[in-house]
Amino acid sequence: MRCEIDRGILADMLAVVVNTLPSRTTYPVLQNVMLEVAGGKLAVSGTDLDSYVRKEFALTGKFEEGKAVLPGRKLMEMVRELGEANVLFFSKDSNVHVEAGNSKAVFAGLDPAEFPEMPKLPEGTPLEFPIATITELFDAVSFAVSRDESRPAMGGVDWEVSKSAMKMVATDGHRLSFVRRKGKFPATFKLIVSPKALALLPREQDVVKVYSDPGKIGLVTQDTMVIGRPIEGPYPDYERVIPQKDYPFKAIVKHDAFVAVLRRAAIFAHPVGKLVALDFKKDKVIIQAETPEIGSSEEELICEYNGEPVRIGFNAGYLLEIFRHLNSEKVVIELQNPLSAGLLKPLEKKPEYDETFLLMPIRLD
Amino acid sequence: MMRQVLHIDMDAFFASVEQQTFPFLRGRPIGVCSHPQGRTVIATASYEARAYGVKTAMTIPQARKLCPEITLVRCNLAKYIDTSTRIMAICSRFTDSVEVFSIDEAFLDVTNTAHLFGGADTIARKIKQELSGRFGLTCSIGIAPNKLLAKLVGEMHKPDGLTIIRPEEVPVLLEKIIVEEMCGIGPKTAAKLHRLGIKSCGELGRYPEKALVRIFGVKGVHLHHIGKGIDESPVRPYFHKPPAKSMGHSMTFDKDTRNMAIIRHHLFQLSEQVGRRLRKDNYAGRTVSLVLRYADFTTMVRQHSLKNWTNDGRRIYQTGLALFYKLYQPPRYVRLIGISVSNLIQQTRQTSMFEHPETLRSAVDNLNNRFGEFRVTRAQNMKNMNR
Repeated sequence: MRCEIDRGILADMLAVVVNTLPSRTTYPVLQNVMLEVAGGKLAVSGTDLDSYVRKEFALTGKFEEGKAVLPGRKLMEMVRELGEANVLFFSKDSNVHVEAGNSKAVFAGLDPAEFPEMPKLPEGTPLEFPIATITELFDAVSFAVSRDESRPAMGGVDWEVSKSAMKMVATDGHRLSFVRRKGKFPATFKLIVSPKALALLPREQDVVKVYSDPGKIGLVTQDTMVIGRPIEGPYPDYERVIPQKDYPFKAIVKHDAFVAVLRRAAIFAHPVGKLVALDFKKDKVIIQAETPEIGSSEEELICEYNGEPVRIGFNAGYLLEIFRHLNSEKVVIELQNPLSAGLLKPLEKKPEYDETFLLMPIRLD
Repeated sequence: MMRQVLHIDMDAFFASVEQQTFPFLRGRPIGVCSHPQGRTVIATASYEARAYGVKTAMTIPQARKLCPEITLVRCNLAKYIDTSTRIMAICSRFTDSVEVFSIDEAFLDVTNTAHLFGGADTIARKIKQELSGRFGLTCSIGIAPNKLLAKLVGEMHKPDGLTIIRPEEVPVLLEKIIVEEMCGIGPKTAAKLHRLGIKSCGELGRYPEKALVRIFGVKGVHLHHIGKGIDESPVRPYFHKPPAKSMGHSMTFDKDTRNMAIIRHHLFQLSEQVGRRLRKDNYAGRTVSLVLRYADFTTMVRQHSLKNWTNDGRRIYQTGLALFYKLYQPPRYVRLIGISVSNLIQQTRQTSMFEHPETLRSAVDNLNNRFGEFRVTRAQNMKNMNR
């Protein structure tokens, strides 16, 4: 194998691929990436056995076809530290030489036959979707994905496309993010996809081709291919918890002012649970937090509210995270009772776009 | 203001409670243990038995050898807890600073309330009177300016003692006390101190603090304070209890065993009990430790950290069982098995959107609280119980 490539391009390719490698594994070959020169392209691939990713770049100079398997993180660190513009790779005996200007390094590469083979893409005609829509929805839901391994379905994003809308939902049981972009889409499908796979989509490109069969999902763009397993369902029945009618308590708060108060309150919230109490009264909300060993805080904020007084507890961290995703000057907070989910949504909606966040309260009694 | 701390220690608590419940046991040497016919140890010996040399933690054959006429009584923990709760309630009538130190020991800070009752010594006498009148039980009380000294002097005159130490008497007392008598100095530390030529507390107090820190690390400062009779730790009422670090249960088998079904069954029950305790106090833990003691008393411990926090008995059992299989060397006989969960966090009352196993667990906990342990249990456990 022999090829020469721009250092910056290679560093970017490695950054994406190395991100997929498992941080701890009992199968050491997975700490490596495969470099493959074939058909005038250099491909870098890596896997954690759940997702496979492959980035390609068309070579311009001279090259010799071949494969090499190198330690992913070490290679990335080295490429980042190189000062020169171009990096030259070539294999000699069983070693891989990496040269840039006066820097010369030799990696004791592994046998490429030991590297797990990339699975084949699911058969059939792919569906094409704009990457911008997928990433817009994904960015609004990814924070709510569960990290609890005992409930695998919630570790994924529920992705549903119909002819007229694309929808994504993520929840960890405490908070839920639901977003929908209206538009024209080529077909309908529904699957639970790993957030890792969607995060790998190159944002600067336009279109992704989605291949899927019951056991695999493939996302293919101009230079990136991601193959993963869809997560087995069923996904929790979230429609049941999203209110179909108006809530009895409805307040409108100013986004930035509310966030500022919440941040101050969070300083006094107990580190476990980060409990803050919101006390809605006529035209105001009082935000309180307390940790017995530290102290307490209380702050009043003007808001639009003219219902019965209601007091509810929330995790300040969860609440702030939702506000980070609400791009609206004013936010609507709707409550049913102090033990049911609170609903948050922007007052000014983006055209053709719906977003709803649900947050379960913390019991105050 | 000089603090006034009382240390109350019930005399031969379990044995005295049994002697009060069953009058025919009074005046006789008795030993309380969990299984009089089994292989356990003496939990408490009555003063009559102590006269023969019977001590706590002696095996039953050892106790019988020293005192052939000893009567062994089965331990009834519920009764002792109930009596203890009532004793603590009496103590709380004199101050709100009552620290329950163990089932039969408590510290009372009466600095701010002593004048209401005519002084700390009057409080001590009133408590003794009340305990004897209501339960027929005696206790030994020490009164001192801090917890360390109160416990020390309280144990000087047992049973039924009342010892008061005034600040000016402390230096003389410390000269007479050997280091191992102090709470907080175990046999290993004592041996190390002896090698430094330190025998009495007075000597420990005179030893340079810096040198102690060099030898014992952070603990050196604490040792220096012990030597000087200084203890600024507050009397912590139960509602200011520091957070738990781990929770666990262990059990000795009636007979050494290598029967996997029996071992699994007990490990399962212990795990469920640990889970329940964690849930009761709103904890969840990540590190599961398994203790295995073989018939020859060799003991092995191994632990595993989970990715997520749990307080689910079954999850604890599964992790414990996996550890057991790693640790167990067939065909050895097992004497004791124990399981504990550490790396704890206190859980909040965060509610959940969807049906969750937690909902079921809490319903089962409520039923068992009402109707008794393992009334509702997993089918797996039923199968083992019938075996």
